[in-house]
Amino acid sequence: MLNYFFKRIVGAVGVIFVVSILTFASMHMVPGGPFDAISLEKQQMVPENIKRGLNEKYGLDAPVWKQYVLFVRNAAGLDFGYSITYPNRTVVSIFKQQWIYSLQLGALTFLFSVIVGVGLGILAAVNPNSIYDYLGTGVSIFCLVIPSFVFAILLQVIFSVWLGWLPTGGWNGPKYWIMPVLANSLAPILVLQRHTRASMTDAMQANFVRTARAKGLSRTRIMFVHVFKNALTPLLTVGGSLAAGLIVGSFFIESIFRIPGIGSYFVTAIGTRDYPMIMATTLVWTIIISVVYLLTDLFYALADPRVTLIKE
Amino acid sequence: MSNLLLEVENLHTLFKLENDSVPAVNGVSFSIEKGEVLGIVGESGSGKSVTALSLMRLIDPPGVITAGKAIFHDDDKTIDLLSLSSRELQRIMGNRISIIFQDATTSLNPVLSVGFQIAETLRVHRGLSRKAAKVRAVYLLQRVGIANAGKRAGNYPHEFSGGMRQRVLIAMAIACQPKLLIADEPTTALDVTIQAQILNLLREFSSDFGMSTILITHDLGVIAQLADKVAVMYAGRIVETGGVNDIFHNPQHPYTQALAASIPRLHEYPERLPTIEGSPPRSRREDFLGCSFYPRCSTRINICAEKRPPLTEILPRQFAACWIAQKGVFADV
Amino acid sequence: MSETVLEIRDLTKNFSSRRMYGRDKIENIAVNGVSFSVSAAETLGIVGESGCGKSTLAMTIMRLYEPDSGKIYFEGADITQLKGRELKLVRRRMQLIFQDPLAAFDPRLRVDQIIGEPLEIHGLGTSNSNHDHTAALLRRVGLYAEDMQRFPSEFSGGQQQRIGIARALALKPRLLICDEPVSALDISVQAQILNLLRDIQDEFGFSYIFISHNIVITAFMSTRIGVMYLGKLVEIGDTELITKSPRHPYTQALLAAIPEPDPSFRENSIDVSSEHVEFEGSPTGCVFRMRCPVARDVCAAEEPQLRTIGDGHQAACHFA
Repeated sequence: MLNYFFKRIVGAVGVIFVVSILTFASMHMVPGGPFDAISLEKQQMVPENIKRGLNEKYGLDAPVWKQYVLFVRNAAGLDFGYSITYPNRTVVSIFKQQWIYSLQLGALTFLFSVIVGVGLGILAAVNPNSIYDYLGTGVSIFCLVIPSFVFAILLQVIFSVWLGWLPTGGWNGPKYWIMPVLANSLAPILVLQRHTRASMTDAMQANFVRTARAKGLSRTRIMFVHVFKNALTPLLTVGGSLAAGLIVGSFFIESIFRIPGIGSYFVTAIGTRDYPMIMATTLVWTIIISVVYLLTDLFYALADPRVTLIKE
Repeated sequence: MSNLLLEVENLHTLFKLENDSVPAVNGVSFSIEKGEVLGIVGESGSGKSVTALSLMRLIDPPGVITAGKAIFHDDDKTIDLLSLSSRELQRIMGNRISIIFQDATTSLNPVLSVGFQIAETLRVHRGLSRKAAKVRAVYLLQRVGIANAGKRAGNYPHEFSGGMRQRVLIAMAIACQPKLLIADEPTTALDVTIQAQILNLLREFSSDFGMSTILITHDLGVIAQLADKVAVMYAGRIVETGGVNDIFHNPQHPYTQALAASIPRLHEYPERLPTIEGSPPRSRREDFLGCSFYPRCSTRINICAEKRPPLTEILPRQFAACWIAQKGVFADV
Repeated sequence: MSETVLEIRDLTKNFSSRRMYGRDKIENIAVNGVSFSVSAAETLGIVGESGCGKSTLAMTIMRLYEPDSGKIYFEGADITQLKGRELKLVRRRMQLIFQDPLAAFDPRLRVDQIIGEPLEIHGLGTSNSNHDHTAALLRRVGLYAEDMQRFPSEFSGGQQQRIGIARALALKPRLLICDEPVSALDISVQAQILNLLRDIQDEFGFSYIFISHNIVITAFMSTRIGVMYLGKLVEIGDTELITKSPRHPYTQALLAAIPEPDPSFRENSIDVSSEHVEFEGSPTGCVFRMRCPVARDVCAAEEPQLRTIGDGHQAACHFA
């Protein structure tokens, strides 16, 4: 077992390295540096000598590979430096202060999507070709077709501008949560509803359900004791990757609703070429996703007695 | 006081497919006595499995039972299985009548322990407490020949071999000491040495607590070893029925005769095996009014194509649906 | 003494793997040092229950699996290591008939393409130019020339198996390996196929290796029978000897377990204790000792080798 973990961790570290190199490289390949962005903002050219001074200060005059090595060395000590966009704040402190908002958004979205998505999926599977089934499919198609940011803006227009019921943005209380969570839930609901329905239908058609019926068990008992357990374990994998995506926040939703989470900071960072911020966020992403996938595999092995971890 | 346990009258089960409806069970009637083993033998398309599933009302759309009665003489009352409400039916299934299927591997719930699945029947039908049910489940596992039953009760189905899973299913089926066990191809998927053990088990239970068994199979050897009475099915109907010795030593229907003749036997090495031309019918022609075995029968006569022969008593307690059998052509004088 | 078409010596194929945690190796020696030979125009039956390795044996002889050790001699030549074009030439002379005929066909090919494919692969013309040959083959197996244009799914199980046989015959092989060819068919159809296989063997003179779990059918088809258990060949000899006087306890159990289709002979328990005891890999010593009614200490200590106990009759048992 330890052997297996060790191998997975080594693999994950490898992935992190590759991702960091690729990100670093692409970051520097994109034209313009952080100070050109400031120029755009302030609408006047930053004088050359000041630019050179700033570049030196941030170590941006060194060759790219050297910058990378320095980055790695610092990252190992969890020092990501100061944000270029917010020069008084270290990247780490930005994370510490702002991540909580992304997590809140993520948690609420997860809860809501699971209730709606899994719920609709179960209803659809248990009542095939009924109004519930069509409702579920309808909702899924809606989620599939409309991008979350379009839906978000639509919600803002209807509920904030026309009806004035909800605030357009910010994160100061339950009223502020409704629209972002709704918009953010589109993709997760789609995924969960479809997977749940398929998984339940498969489980319901299995031979052991026939055996359960032959034993004279009631339909309720068959659903709850026999079918659910079989249907829900495959959902773990799906749930795992969804959770991973939600932990790191959503670019679109946070930006549109002005939620000060990591997602919106990341968007800003890209625009302003805030290299330290970009690198840190990408790294955090990769680590979280690797960890969540590893945990999902573990849980799956625990939940389904047939699964053991075997090397190919 | 009659010894009859179950009387099936004129069962009809239809499958409504895209273009036509296939009568999988086309007017089947038979009866079984207490403690008797009835073997239903037939090839694919004969309707034998569908008959069993129909009795237990396990037929799902596009299949539908369109006619028939299944009178079950339980200890204290007589009921028609086919007209029970689903609640009443649930009280009978797994309790007074049990059914086991061919594929033991997929018939067990993979994420529940074997002991749980056996105990479940006892808890639901006999109201046993969790603990009491568990004790009895372990006993049942022992009874069906699983070593180390106490420990094994906590194992999951995939931790057992095919033969052992079938034993588990049998344990589950007899847990409440049913009056009737329906076994649909219980040993077809098993190795022959394991099959022999399972058949012994079934024989044991049949005599130990007077349980009647309907044994459905395509294997004539299994029928010969276990059955008291035999019903031969072809194309959705029973074409011959009688005591096992009569059926094997003096079959009256050309299909039964040909079937028995076409299986190889040990120590007999003919140059060629006698065969039946063609194959079992896959679809039924509604407009053909004659005997369904007509296209493959080597002893057919004109009337066979025009009128379907009814099941008639040819010899004492032996019935066959065949025009020339009725003429006494096959009777051993 | 007729010519030896196939000889295998100590053929071994294993599928061992390693667990992720712990150091357990999951041993799975599917074929464990099997040796026998097949002469011209004879049928060697291989009988055994699930997991005995008979199908793996067939695949390994055909080099569809690579043997881990041992030798295969076909028509006198060592083909164990052959590759490329040489192997292809050998493949023309050995063909396989499968248990599930429908699964063995590409469902999108018509019958003439299915039968013509082997000819094409070996550069012997296309399905068009081989039209007559294909028609003749179809007629030979009891189908019609018109069936060429149909798809295999339109046929019944027995007819599909006939198509499979026609395909195997297309290249005029020397050796046909039949892996459970009738197990998936209805009984009334089994007889037809078995007759067909006998007929074409009489006509074309090839050799069969007939693999089945059903010893009665195997006895009907074969001149000699080999019995396999957990990867090992435990007994081999002429059909009559094996079925009338089997010497290995497993063969005896196998024969005793067959349900006799005659109600006058009702048997009771057979003397084979419990089941495959669940362990991974084969036990030390004799593979059968865990279930054997006459096993003693020596059976665990020393693995019995196949030794000759009669004319052409061999058994791997200390007490045979």
